[in-house]
Amino acid sequence: MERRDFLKGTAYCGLALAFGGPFTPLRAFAADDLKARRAWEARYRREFLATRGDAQGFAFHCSNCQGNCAWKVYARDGVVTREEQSAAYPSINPNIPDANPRGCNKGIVHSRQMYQADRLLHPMKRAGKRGEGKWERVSWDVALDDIAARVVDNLNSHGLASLMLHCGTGILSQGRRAAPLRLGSLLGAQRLYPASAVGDMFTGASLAYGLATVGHTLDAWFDAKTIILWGINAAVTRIPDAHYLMEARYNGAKIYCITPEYNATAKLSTDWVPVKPGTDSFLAMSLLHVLFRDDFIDRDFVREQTDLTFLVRTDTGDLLRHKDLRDKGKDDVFFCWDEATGSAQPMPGSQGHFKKSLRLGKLQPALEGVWEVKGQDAAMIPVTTVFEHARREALKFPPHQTHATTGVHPTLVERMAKDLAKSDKAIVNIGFSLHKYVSGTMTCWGAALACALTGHAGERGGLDTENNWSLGGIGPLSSPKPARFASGFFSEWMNGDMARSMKRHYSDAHLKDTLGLDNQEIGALTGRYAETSNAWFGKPRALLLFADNMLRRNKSEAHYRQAFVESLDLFVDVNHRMDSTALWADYVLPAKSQYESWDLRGELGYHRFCNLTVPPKGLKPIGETKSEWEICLLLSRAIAKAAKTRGLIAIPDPDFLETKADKAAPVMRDLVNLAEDFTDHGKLMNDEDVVRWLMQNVPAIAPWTPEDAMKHGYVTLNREAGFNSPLYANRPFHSFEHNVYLRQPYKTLSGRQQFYVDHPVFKQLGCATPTAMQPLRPKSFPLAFWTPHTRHGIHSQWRANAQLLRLQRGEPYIWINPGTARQRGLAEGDPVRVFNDVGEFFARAKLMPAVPPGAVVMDHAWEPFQFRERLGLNSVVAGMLSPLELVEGWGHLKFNPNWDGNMIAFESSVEVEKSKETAA
Amino acid sequence: MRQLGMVIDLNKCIGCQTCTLACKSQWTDHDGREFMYWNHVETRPGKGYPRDWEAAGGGWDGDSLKPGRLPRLAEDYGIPADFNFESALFHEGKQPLRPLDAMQWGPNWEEDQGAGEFPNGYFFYLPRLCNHCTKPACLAACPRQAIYKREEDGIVLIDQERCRGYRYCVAACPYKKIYFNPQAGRSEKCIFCYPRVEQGIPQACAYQCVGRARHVSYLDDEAGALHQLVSVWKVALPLHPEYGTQPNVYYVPPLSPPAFEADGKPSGKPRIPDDYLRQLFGPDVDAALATLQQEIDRKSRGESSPLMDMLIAYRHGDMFRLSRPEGGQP
Amino acid sequence: MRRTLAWLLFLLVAPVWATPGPDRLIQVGQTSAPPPLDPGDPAWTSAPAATVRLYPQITAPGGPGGSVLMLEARVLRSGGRLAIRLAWPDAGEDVADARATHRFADAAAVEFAPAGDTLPYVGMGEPGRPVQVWLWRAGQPPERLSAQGFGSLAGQAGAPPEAQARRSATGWTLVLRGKTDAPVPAAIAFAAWDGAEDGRAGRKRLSAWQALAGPGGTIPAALREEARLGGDPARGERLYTERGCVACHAPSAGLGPDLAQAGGIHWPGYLRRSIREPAAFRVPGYTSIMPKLGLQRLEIEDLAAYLMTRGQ
Repeated sequence: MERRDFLKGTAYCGLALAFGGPFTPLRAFAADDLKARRAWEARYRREFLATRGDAQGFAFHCSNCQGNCAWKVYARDGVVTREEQSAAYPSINPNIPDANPRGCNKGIVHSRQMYQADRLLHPMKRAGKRGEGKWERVSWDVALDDIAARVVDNLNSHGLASLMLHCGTGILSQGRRAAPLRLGSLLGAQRLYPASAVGDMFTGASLAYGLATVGHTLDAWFDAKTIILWGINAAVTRIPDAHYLMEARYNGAKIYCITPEYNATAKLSTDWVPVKPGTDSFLAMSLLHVLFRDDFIDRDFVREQTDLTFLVRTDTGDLLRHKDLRDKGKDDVFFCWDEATGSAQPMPGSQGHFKKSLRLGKLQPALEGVWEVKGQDAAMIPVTTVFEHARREALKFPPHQTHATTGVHPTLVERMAKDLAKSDKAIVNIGFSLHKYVSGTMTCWGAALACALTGHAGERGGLDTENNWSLGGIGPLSSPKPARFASGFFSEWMNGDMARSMKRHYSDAHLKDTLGLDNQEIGALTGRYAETSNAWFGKPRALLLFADNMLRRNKSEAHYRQAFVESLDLFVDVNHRMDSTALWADYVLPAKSQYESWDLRGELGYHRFCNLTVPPKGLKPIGETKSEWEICLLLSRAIAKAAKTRGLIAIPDPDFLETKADKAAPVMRDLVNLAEDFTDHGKLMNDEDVVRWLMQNVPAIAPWTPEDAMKHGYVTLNREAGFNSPLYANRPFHSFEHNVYLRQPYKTLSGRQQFYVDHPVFKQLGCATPTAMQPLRPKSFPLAFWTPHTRHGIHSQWRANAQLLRLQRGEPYIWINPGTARQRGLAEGDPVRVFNDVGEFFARAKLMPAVPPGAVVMDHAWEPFQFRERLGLNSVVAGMLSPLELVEGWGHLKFNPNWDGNMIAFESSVEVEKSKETAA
Repeated sequence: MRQLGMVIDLNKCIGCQTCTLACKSQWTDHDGREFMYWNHVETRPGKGYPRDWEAAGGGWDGDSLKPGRLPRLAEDYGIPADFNFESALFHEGKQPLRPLDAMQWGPNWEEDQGAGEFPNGYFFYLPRLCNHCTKPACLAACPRQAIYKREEDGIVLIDQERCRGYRYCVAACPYKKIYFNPQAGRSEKCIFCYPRVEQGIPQACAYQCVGRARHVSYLDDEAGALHQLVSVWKVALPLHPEYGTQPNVYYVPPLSPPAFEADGKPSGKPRIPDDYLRQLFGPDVDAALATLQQEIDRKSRGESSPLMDMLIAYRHGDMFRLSRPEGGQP
Repeated sequence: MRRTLAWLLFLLVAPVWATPGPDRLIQVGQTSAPPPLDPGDPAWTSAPAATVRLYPQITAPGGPGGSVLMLEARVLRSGGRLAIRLAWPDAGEDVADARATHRFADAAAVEFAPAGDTLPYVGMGEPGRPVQVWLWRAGQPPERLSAQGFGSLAGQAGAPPEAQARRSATGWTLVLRGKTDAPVPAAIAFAAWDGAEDGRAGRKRLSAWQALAGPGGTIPAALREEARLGGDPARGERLYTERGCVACHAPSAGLGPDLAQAGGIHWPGYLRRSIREPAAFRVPGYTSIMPKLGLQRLEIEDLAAYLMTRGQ
């Protein structure tokens, strides 16, 4: 072939050509030559040994990752060379694949992240306007003294609640997180509930079980026969556990992956269920439709374990309560229609019933029927069952009718329902995507009902949001005094004045039409919530923020920033890297990161192992970084000093009372002795002390000692870790065994899995039982916009990592269907502007056949500083919250870690157009 | 000669890139190797990495080497970009974080793109590394005989003392898994982690594969996954066997959820077209997929399947059989 | 044609030029000062210029060899150091670029024959008869290397030569300066690679050994036998045909090295030796071994004389 001809046929220009044409290869060297020649191989052996270094530690990566994986960390001359998965977890059962080697692409580049140029090395003080980017390097002493003085003055003049000391999801481990929690609790500072602040509440599960996080260790997937993955892209967001899915498939399981875009998890599933964005609740109702219609119902389970037998007044739509029948009757005792006696009988196990058991005894509760019960004023009350209500609602949604709405063909719905019903063990996993829609609560609740109808709980599987262990015993460390717990979503909503962008994006008429409530009515609900909720509320004046990228994650971000952060008197950001939030701080204090301080994490229930971070010996500090414990200790000393010079010994906090010798007195916020309190009189001086304390005081860790843990980097949690089931040594964990086998009541008002809520807002929205809710995105912009979790970050952590950016395209890009792109004249790689009436951002286009037409998708949590003009992707996300999640003070729906709301992220609509370049 | 080989189960590969970075932090993040990915994972269908490698020639035509061409750094491999952290994060202004050199391509450029039309788009992940071929074209092409195959494990190495960076091997490798190190003036490639293997530690990419997709054993080890999956069950196939180099990295081909008919009904046909898989893995892929499905069906009926048990891999450690036979070289 | 034009153009703009010296004999200029590294140093005029033809390498993989057909060489010696200035046409500048791993740099090399009365094979020497090589690649530090046959090039201990290259619009002028193994090498040869043509390894053009003129400007005594040419080329040509040499030694045959340019690249001594003892040294890349032809001494002289007419 002529060189010229060869060149012509290729896209390569100016390329190099190896051969003029075919030729005979040279003979190989003789074997005896080879032996002598192989001395050079020592070269790569030396390189390998260099990466193994001269010291080894253990670590996990705690920044808001639910993976919790054990790693070995190698260092040489005090510098981390490399990390590698430990892969040392024991097999719990020869018939279940082991958990090795846990880890992912983020964990494996952390050593590169540690030394990357976005690392904060020294305390810095703002030298210009907030966010202007002018910094002055200051000493720790100068920074801490100034911060402490301002904190003390603030507490003195504006009260304790004017301080927010919040640790975000960047640190979720029990060791490192303990420092800010402890300091905040001693000071009585406001603290946001983090899962709610980031929009990760499973309120649908909370409705059903009184628990937001329920489910299984993920090895439980392995022997399931049907797995429904709903809004969860496990192959991207559960990387260390995703293998169990394919292994389950090889073990004969059917896997349905419900997601609007064809993704890495859909790829490994037996069926992809291409639901249209935001219509999941319709799909859930159609599943329920099939179950009810074809009577795929485990009646024994339903009678005992759920409130479907409970009687509902058909006149008011309320549950029939004891107080309806008796003067001064109880509000939290409920009735069934007992077929044995032909009368309404109280159901044991509810919050008000003296009998704390689900056992029915001689009761034979009816599921179906209409009856009349004599009320306390002798009037007859017409009643039916929750079952009847739920069925009637479900029967409104036959699969052939929801097909147009959901895009899911009836045969797929029918098959999925049947597989769910017929499988001995089936698991329905709810991902974090669903509750980013207002309808998510209903979808999740509907899925819970589907599991209930088919009897899936305990070892038969059931709903899985995410299992968390009950570690217990941590209180004295993290909360020695009561803290001001604030609702994550609600405080952010109010502090950031998010209602403004909601009003701009959603017209009253549209909201009324889709949701049933207009802006004003939603405003009224938020007002009521602020009044009635026992969540702390009130805009702080000083913010000490640890590992929280709040200016990245909040919606309508510039607006939020202006309303909240820019109005603060003091904003201190403690962080290991310069993130989009630290950029706006008055002070940034450089913290250690994953491998540099001792740490422990064991609450994550995807597996049963509690991991430790033990820094490699001799690790050199990076710049002037300090551990969170050290920073908080220094802060407590500086605050004590500042208080002393102002003659301020302690501040009484009458919002919290302490009972001493039968006398209630306000909790004292002791400032002068703050450091003594913080260290518990010298017992907790550093991060290693904290980890040792945890090892010795958390019952679920027994009998392991710190020395055991330091040998392997992990310990196996004991039986106590499971709080609604035992954690058996040789079986996967499944929630609710205590309820299903021991008949212990659930944490709900009814004491059973709850599928009827007669709160006025639920009734007003037609949501007393699971139902479908329409997507809210306005039609004023044509494209749906959603932002699933990314493969290349844990939220914004690692999002700006050079190693990972090289595995992407170096800058933010949207995913768009090629047809949708073509209609707008967009080609692969084009710079684009994404906009709506609340904002805009610039990115590049990536044409994705996997994405449905009429949508812009973006893997989330790109840092705003990665965008032109620093307009992050949340610039086009309008504020929105769910009226259902504003319900407060009904049974188990009271503000607590299991009942808090979500910042709604996926209900905005956008348009996209070609733009000039994506850099300014 | 004994031959160490690898089977990568494409059904278990989730495209997480942990292997890519396990390899990078073990070998290629310094000294002129920064742009190299001895192991990478590309989304298929697509142009792959380096861009359009399948059209870049190389390999064998009978006993003659076919011409091949050298990929370009920026356009075909991608520049290992550094970023303006300092100016974007620590200075005035609103300069966004950007690569210092505009990125034109990269090892995972087409992530999750694939082909087809919604809702029948499809893609899968294809991890690639040096195949440590039985008939390596690179070895034959080197005018300095700097490339050899080790007797004890069949690992193909480029002698870093003999190599003078002529790059005939780069062109000759039809998989384009040899890289020229401009700093060292030599060509380098995956060394199958021999320094680890010699100590009984599996390759970084395999050991650190969190999808548990990679099996490693000697081809003549009858109990090993290689022998079982390649020779007995015939579900693991070489990539592009027609290139003639006789690779020793094998792939379990990907299953896929069914495509939808025009009305949205699942069709019963896999969404990855059979033809496409035949292009990659040759005609034996049909039988391999049929065997996989047949054995999955056995499992779902509650019957036993040694094949499925092997692919499930109950113990991570069992996926690697590195022990040497009696009398083997130390 | 294009190449000839390039050469002519180069001649016109070359900074310093002189008439070509006698074939295969380079007059060494002497300076009292250290020989200059700067290609533009006036001292270079004191060294006579030799125009040297370059030939494609006939080993495999050789390839087309590139477009550099000739170069001009000057040699200066002083105080035990040798400086060689090479000038050759090259239309485009190709410099090693870490961002262009698919490109090759322009390069040139000087090869030094070991002392002795028999020159080694000009293409990288022979086992037992190592050649020394100074290699310069544009954009990279020069290297001091040695080789004992094709594919055996290896670094050599000792200080590498210094290099200074100057680029004009039409070509390179390069000075390499250093100490050689033999204080006075018997012969040197040159090679040039064009990066634009992917020149590296065998994709180059190479000169025949050039004797460094001894006192009196003649071929050194040791090499006189190597240079001796006594036979009758016409008889040699008949023998070449009768014996069917062409069956193997043609580019299309590929069984032995193409001899079309044998007279340009080889010395008579080498040709005589190869005919007499074909197995003594085999050109790499060819699988068959030439049989001994059993020729008379005079017949060998005739054949060698004929082959020396080819490609001159």
